[in-house]
Amino acid sequence: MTPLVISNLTVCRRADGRVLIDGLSLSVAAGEVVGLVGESGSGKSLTAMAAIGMLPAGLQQEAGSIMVAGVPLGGLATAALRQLRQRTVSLIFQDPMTALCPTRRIGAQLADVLAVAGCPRTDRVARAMALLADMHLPDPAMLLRRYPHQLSGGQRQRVLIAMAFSASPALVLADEVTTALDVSARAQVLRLLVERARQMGSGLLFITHDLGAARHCCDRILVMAGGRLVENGPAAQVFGQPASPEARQLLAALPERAVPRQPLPVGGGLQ
Amino acid sequence: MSALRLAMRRDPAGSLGALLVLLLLGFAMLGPLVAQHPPDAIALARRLQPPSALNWLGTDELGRDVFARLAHGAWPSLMAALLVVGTTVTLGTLLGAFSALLGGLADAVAMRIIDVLLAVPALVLAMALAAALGPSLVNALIALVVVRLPVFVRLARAQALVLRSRPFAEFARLAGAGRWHVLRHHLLPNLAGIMVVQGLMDVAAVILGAAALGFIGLGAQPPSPEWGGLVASGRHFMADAWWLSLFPGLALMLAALGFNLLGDLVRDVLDPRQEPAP
Amino acid sequence: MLRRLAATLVVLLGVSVVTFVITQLVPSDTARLVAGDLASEARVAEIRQELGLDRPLPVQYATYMQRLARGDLGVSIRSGRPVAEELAEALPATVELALLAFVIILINGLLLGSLAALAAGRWPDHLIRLLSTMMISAPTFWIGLVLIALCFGQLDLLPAGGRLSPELVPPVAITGLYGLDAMLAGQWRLAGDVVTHLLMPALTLALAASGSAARLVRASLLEVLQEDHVRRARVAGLSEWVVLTRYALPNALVPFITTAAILLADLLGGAVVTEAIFSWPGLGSYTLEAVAGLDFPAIMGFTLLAALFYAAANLVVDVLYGVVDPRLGPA
Repeated sequence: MTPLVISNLTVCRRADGRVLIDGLSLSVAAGEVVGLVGESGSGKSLTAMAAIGMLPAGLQQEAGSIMVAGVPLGGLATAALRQLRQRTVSLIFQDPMTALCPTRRIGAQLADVLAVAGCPRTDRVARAMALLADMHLPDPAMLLRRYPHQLSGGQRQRVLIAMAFSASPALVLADEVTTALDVSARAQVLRLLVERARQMGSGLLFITHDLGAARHCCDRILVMAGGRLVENGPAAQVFGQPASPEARQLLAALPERAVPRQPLPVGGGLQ
Repeated sequence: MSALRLAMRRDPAGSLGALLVLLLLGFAMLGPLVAQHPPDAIALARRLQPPSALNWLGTDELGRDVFARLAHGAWPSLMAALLVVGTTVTLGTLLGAFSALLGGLADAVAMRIIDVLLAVPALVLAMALAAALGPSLVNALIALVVVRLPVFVRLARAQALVLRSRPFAEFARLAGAGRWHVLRHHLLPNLAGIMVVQGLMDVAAVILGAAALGFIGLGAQPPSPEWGGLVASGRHFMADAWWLSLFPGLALMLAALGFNLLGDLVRDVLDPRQEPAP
Repeated sequence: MLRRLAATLVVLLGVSVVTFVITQLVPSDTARLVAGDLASEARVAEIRQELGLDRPLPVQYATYMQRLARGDLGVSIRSGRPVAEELAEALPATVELALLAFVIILINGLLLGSLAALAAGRWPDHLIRLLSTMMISAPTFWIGLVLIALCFGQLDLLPAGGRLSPELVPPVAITGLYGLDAMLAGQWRLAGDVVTHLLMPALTLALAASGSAARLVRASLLEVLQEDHVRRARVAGLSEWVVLTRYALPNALVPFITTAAILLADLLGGAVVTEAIFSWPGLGSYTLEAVAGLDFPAIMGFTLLAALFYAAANLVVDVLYGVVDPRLGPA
C-alpha cells in the first residue's frame, strides 16, 4: 500500500476563497525519501497538515483526495482519524523547543505515544529506552526522567523523531525539522531521520528550505510554487536540469551550482 | 441596524452589557418620573404589601413604595460609583505618571506604600477606613478611592515608564522640554485611553464595594435609598417580604453585570492583542 | 528567598503603620469608649493615662510595636480580653469555611473554564461567559440572603446560620475544624450536621471567585491549546482527555497558582459579609462586630492578621512555582 497518494488536492481559504493549494498531486512510496521544497507560502507545510487531517480552521478542502496507506482521509470519523495518527502517520514539527510539553517528563511523553500505539504498559519503559538508544541519545534511562528544558535542541528533536517512529508508521511527515537547530546539530538529526525511515521502510516526506540537505538525502524532489507542483523527479535530475522557471529561480539560490542559462523546453511537470 | 446585528452576533455578551448599561441609565433618569409614589412617603396602613398594580414592586416596612425607592436610589448609587472611579482614574494617572517621571527615592517610597496598601484585603481596609472616618456615604466613597487607587497608580506608572522611553518623549526631552512639558503633552494624553478603559472595568467592582459598605451600615445612611442599604433594610423581612431585598439586589447585579460585560467589550475593541472574550 | 522574606517584613511593618494611622483618624475618644458613657471626666483621664493615650503619637506607636513584637495585639475594648486570644478562637471557623469555599472555587473554575475553552466561540462558551460574569456581578450579601430565603425559608433544606445545630455538642477539638474533628472522632452524624451548616455560606463565599477563576482558566487554557506541544500531542493521536489533562491543563494552571494562593488568603481575610449573613462565628463576624463597636485594637489585630495571610500566600506561591513548573525548580 503506498504510504501517501494525494490527487488533485485543492485547498481554499473560506473567508475570501483564495486558493492556497491548487490541484496538487503527489505520492510517496514505501521506503522512499521525498523532498518537498519551495518558497515560504508555496503551500508545503499546508500539504503536510492536509496529509495528517489537520487543516487549520478557516481553510477548506475544495477538491481532490488524500489516501494515507490506502485509507482515504476525506470523511474519516474523528476516532478513525485518531487511530490513523496513532499507528500509520506521524508529523514532526519544526521547532523542538516548543513541541514537547514543558511540565511533563520525557519518559511520560514517550509512554503516552507508546500507549496509543498499543504497547503494553509493562514494556513501555524498555521500548522507550530502545527508541532513544536508536537515536544515539546518551544514557536513555536518565533521559526518561528529564524535562524538555534540560535537553538541547538537537536532543529534543531526536526525542521527537523517536516518538514519530515509535509505532513504525507507514508515513512520516517532517516539516522543516532542522530549521530551528544549531548548524552543528542539523547534519546529525538529518542523518538519523533518513536512516530511521529507511530502516523502518516508512515513506518520508521531507519538507525543507535547505536545498543542500534535500539534494543530499532525498530520492526524489518535489518543487512547489504558488500552491502548485512545478517539478517532480529524481534529485539528480531536478537539481541538474530543472524543467520549470520557478524551480530554476529557486535553485539559483543554491550556491554550489550554477543553474543552466539555456531554458529547457517546459514539460508541464513530470508527474 | 445591520452593524448592530453584526455586533450582536460577534459578541452577544458584550452587546448585552451595553444594553444593560443603557437600560440602567434610562431607569436612573426616567424611573423617578414614572414612579407613582414619592420615595419617602410613609403609609403604615400599606406596610409590607407584595407587588401589585398599586405598588409595582411592593412596599417596605413603613409602607414606602419599593419601586420609587429603587428608582430614586439608582442615580446616587450609579453616580457614587462613577465618582469613585473618576477620582481613582484621575488621581491614579497623575500619581503614577509623577512617580515614573520623578524616579529615585520618591518613586521607591510611593511603590512601597502601594505594596502595603495592596497587602490588606480591599474590603477590610475599606471597612476599617470607613469605620474610622465615621459611617457616611462620603466617607465610604473616600475609603473606596483609597482601596482602588493602588492598582491604578501601578498601571499608570508602568505605562508612563514605557511611554517615557518612546522616541517622541525622548526627543522632546533632548530638545530641552521640562518635566512638566513632557508630562502634559506626551505622557498624559497617551495614558488617558488605557486608564479610562481600566476605569470602566472597575465600575462594577466599585458599585458592589459601595453596596457592600452600605449593607454593613458604613455607607449611605437611612433613609437614603442607596441600593446596598435597601438590601440590608429588607434583610430582616426576607422570610415574609422577599421583594424588599430581592429587587434592589437584582438591580445591583444587573448593573454590575452590564458594566462588566461592557468593560470586556471595550477592552476587546481597543486592545485586540489580548485574548478576546467569545 | 531571604530577600523575599525581608521585603515581606517591610510590607508587614508598613501595614502596622497604616493600621496605626487609621486608629488615629477616629474622631471618637478611645478612653471615653473604654470608660463608658457614665464615667466621670477624672476617670476618663485616668484611663487615658493608663492606656498611654496622652503621650505623643510616635511614642504610642513605639509602644504598640514593642508589644506587637511579643505577639501582643492589645486588649479588646469591648470584652477586655487579649485580641490575639479572641482572633485565635475565631480562626478555625473561618479556616473551615474558607477551605471548603476554596475547593468549590477550584472545581468550578476548572470545570467551567475548561468547558468554555474547549467550546471557544460556540454557544457553551457564550453561556459560561455570561454565567461567570453574573457570578462576579452578584452582590455577595444579596446572594446569601436569597440562598437563605430559598433553602431555609421556602424549602427548609439547610439551616440558616451557625456552625452546628444548637442541640449538638461540638466535637473534641483536634484541628478546630468541626467537620474534620467530627470525622476523626467517627461522629458521622455530627459531621453531616456540620456540612449542612457549611454548605450555604461556602457557596456564597465561593460564588464571585468561581466566576473569576472560570474566566482565568478559560483564557489561560485557550492560549495553551494553541501551543505546539498540544498540537503535537493531538497529531500523535492521543485522546482529547489525555491531551487536556496531561498536556494542556498542567501548563494552563501555572499562572493560576498565584491567583489561587492569593485567593485563599483573600477568603481567610475577606469573609466579612458572608460570615455576617450566616452568623458564622469566625474572623469576619468578629471584625464586623469590632467595627460596629469601634474596637480598634481588634480591627488592627485582624487587619494585621489578614496582611500576614497575604504575605504568607506570596511566599507559598514562590515555592509552588518551583514545584509545578520544572523550568523554575532546582535543576
